[in-house]
Amino acid sequence: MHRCLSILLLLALLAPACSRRDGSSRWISQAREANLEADRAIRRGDGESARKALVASLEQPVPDTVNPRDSRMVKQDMCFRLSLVEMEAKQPEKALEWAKKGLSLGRQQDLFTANLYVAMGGAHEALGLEVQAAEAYHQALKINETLLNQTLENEETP
Amino acid sequence: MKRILAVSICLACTGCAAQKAVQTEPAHVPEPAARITLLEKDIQQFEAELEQDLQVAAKPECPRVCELGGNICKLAQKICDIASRNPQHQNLKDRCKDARLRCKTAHQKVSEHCECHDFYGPGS
Repeated sequence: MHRCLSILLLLALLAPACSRRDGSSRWISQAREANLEADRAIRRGDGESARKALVASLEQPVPDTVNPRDSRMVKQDMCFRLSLVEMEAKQPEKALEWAKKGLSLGRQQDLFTANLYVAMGGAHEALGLEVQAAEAYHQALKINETLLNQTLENEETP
Repeated sequence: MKRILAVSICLACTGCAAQKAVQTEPAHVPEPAARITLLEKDIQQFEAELEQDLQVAAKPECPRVCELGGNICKLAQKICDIASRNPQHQNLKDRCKDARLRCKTAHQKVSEHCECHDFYGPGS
């Protein structure tokens, strides 16, 4: 829930920044709509429609005017969601593929990367690859730790 | 400003309380100097409690801090569950030990800053 809000908030924040650039604006709008459509589909238990909406959005070419960091986060979140959809559909191999695809877009110290490591850990675990699962969870844990320290440092700095 | 307000409230409260005590227990009225010392102690205690409450209430980052801390300990638990299912792997034992330590540290740090109602701590 928290995660859904964060990506929708990110998309909402990006939209005004791109308002003067039609291509960017369209890309942001379609990504937001795909996320909302996926939410609706997941709520009614329709994983297939959620998958279609997210895959179609991922396949949209990203305009040059979109900040690469922003497009990475948006795409990684979609990969994470697709991984969850596949896990729900008892398809851990596909879930693992989406997690790997998301991580191939870049590994940063942020929640998007951490979520993908968690998804990877879950898929590995479901496939009986427990050593790899623990490794992925550990990566996610360390990112969360870095984010916690950053948040506390920011709070202490007036 | 907050401090002045707190002290004023405390003075008013303790003043009233003291007045009531005088009315109900006339036999044990302390010396003025002793009363002042007692009131000062009360003020200090109220002030400390109020400061603590204000500090906790004024942390806008607490939901995020609690969530991140909780994530760390949940992930540590997952790693340790895997390690316990695979006791033959020393590597997993080491990961579990490291993860538990990180969870404990996170729990301590979070507790110093925020009150998390559903924090999944190291002992959970």
